[in-house]
Amino acid sequence: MRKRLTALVLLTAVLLFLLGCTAPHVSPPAEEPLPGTNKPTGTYSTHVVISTNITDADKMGSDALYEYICEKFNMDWNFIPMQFGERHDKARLWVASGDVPDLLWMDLNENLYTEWLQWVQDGTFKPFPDDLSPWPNLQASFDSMIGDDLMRVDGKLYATVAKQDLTEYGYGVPMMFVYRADWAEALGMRAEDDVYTWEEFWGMVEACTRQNLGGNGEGRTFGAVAPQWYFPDCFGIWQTQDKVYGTEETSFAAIDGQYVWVPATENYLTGLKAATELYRRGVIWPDLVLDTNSSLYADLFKSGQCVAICENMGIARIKDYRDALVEALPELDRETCVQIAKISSPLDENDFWQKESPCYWSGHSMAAGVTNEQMERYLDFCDYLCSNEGTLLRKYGFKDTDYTLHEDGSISLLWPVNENGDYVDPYPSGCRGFMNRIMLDGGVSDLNNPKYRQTDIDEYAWSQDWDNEHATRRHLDYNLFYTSVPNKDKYGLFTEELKAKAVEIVSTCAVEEIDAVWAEWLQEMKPKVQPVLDDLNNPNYMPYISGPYDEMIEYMSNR
Amino acid sequence: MTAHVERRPGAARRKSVFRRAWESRYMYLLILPGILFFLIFRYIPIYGIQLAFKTFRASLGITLSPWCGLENFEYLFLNSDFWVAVRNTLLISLYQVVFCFPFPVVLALFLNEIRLARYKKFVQTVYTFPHFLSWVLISGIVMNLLSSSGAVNSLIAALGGQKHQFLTDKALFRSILVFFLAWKESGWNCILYLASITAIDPSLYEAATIDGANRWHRMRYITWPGISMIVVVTLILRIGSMMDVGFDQVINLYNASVYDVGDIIDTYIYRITFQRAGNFGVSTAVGLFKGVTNCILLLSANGICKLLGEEGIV
Repeated sequence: MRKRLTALVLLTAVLLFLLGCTAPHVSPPAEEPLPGTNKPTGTYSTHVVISTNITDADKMGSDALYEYICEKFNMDWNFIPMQFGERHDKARLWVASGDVPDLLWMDLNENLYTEWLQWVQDGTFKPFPDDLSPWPNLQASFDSMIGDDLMRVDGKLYATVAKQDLTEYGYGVPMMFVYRADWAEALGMRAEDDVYTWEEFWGMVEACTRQNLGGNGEGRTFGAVAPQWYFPDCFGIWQTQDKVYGTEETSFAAIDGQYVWVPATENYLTGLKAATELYRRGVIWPDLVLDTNSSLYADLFKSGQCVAICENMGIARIKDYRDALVEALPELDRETCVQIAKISSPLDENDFWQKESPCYWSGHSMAAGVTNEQMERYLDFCDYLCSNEGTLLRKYGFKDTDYTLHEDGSISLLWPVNENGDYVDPYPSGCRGFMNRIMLDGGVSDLNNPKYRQTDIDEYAWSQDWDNEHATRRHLDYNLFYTSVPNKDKYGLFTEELKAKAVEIVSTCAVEEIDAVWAEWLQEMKPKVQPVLDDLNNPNYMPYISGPYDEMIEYMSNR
Repeated sequence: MTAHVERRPGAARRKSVFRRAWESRYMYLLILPGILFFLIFRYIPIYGIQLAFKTFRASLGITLSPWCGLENFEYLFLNSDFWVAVRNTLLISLYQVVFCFPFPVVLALFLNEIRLARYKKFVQTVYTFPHFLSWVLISGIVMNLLSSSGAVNSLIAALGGQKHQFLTDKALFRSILVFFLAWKESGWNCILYLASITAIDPSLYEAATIDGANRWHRMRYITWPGISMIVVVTLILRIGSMMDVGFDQVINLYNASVYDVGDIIDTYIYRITFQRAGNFGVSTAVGLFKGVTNCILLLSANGICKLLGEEGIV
């Protein structure tokens, strides 16, 4: 008897082990009453389930927004959890193992695009219908950008893209430094209108770190921090870029009608030296090198332990930093302690850098095996998200429950308010982010959203207006990213190798050593880089190189 | 005339293999999970080795992807990053053999000499505990200790010294890896040696004591010979896996500043497979190279041990 019992237990253990190897299943969300005024239409007779990969999967499926969309479209989502930092890795793994979710979310930027193109050609994805007229809102969104044109292979659309919420400023990215203006003020080093030359700004940062203004203790106030993937570029390399079409990450650029490898340019070397010099001076948080994919850098700023932070500074982030800082240090004046700084290039005090974003952020492709019904339901869902009603649902919630829509089109929020007078989001789950990521990357430039304080909106708007007036925009080179070229497709753009080397140099070399070390590395990379460069300058592969921006957009939409 | 041999009464009839297997079915059932493990994770994946000679196309799968000859190996062998990873793997592994391998043996010998049972258990628990912590957690501890604002630098600063970036220092990185590996695994690894020591006949110690042997003599002439065989076996196995340095440890502790000295074959495979345009053919080629090298090292170590008069494992 005991032997049989042991056998049974072992067999169960083995079966459980094997079952553990199957695809994860996410339980349907708990029942929650829906707001009475917004009953779903219930026009779908069949139930559809779509699997998709998302970050923050644990936050999904627990609020009325999610209940509402599931019921409205008679569908369920099977969420496959992943971390943001592994987004490319997971996409590669799923495609290679034939385990692609029904709807694969990808950060379809220049790093992944050529691989995605290969996957399309391999038949990994199912094309969306040629005629999108049954989905007029979606069509209208696509008509307003070239993102969908870039996702067409042989005329067929293989990915829907989420439009960047940066149209007011022509996709100018608010990637910039904010800093402790109160500390600068206290030292008498605050510049008028927060516009600094390179040396003024870093001199001020250095002085703040030495003065122990926040009471952190001797040597415990850091200079500047940034997300690890900005390092070391945001500390001088971006600012010294040639004034040509730019890249999301530093790779190749067309200068005088010829593509060159940017790391081999004089300007890149100057930027690298500038970053190294700042690191040596101790004004960059030394552990930025070690801080991979964590939010520690942001926590340092929020807790008052550092002077400046470089970020993609949308309105939501300005609000977040100000709120967090005041929560940690209540004596601060929320509206003045953190300000956006405008910093000139180390090369020219009249040159200010501005980055341009692609017109979309992230894309969704559907696996080759999905049914037409799944695809249509997804497109219906996208169409709804692009409609006025869907947009308002995404941003604010349910009409008359969460907001009031006035005749002039303005919105009054009915959200609860906290003790500081700020609105509290009634749906803090990931559903809002999920919907935004599918159709519109919201929250960066949300100028009319009443959930933000006007002071935060003003700060953002001032910064963007200032950049549009004074900064030199490095337009995005769509031609480079989205044209298939044999050796580029095969070897990539060497961004990872470049990044690793730049980090190594900034954190370990003296400025005087850089020329020699850099020349040696360029020589080492030449055999790999040259074939790509030759292809990029081959008119058979790249019939169009640089030209006026509108001309390039026109060319890319019709290629 | 035919010979007629009568079976002797009571003589056992030779049973068939299947019958004997059936009679021992519960034993086989016990080893089933182990067999399944090796089958699923060690033998079935061998099928994928062919990828080293193919250009992998996701839609075609492993079998139908086109052959490319030795192209993947050519790419690999001409790539300087690969040789840096090979060099680092071998060096770090060598350091581990030299510094980490003897430590559990010495620890076991010393632990065996502790006479106070409770204290012995306490010390053994303290040494064994880090084994159960993941490298993710330990890397957090290491960062907190060695980062610029970590405990060690704070102490240095408090004593008036100059802070040092330990984790981006190329000269120190390998030492840090080896030190923390020794700290984490020595307690666990010494269990095997302690078990061997308990198998030594206690009468040998008693006889030696009567003959006037002191502790050192007993350790030298009874304990060490008693465990030397197991030490040799573990050494051969360790040398046979010299190309496996510990992916978890390195991936969690290294950073771009120390790729030159810290990038090992496993992290290199991870980077070229998942962090750049995923080239599964090349990464399988690296894996195959690693497996073959490990096999050669294992057989060589085994041969050397036999030459030195030990038994070896093959």
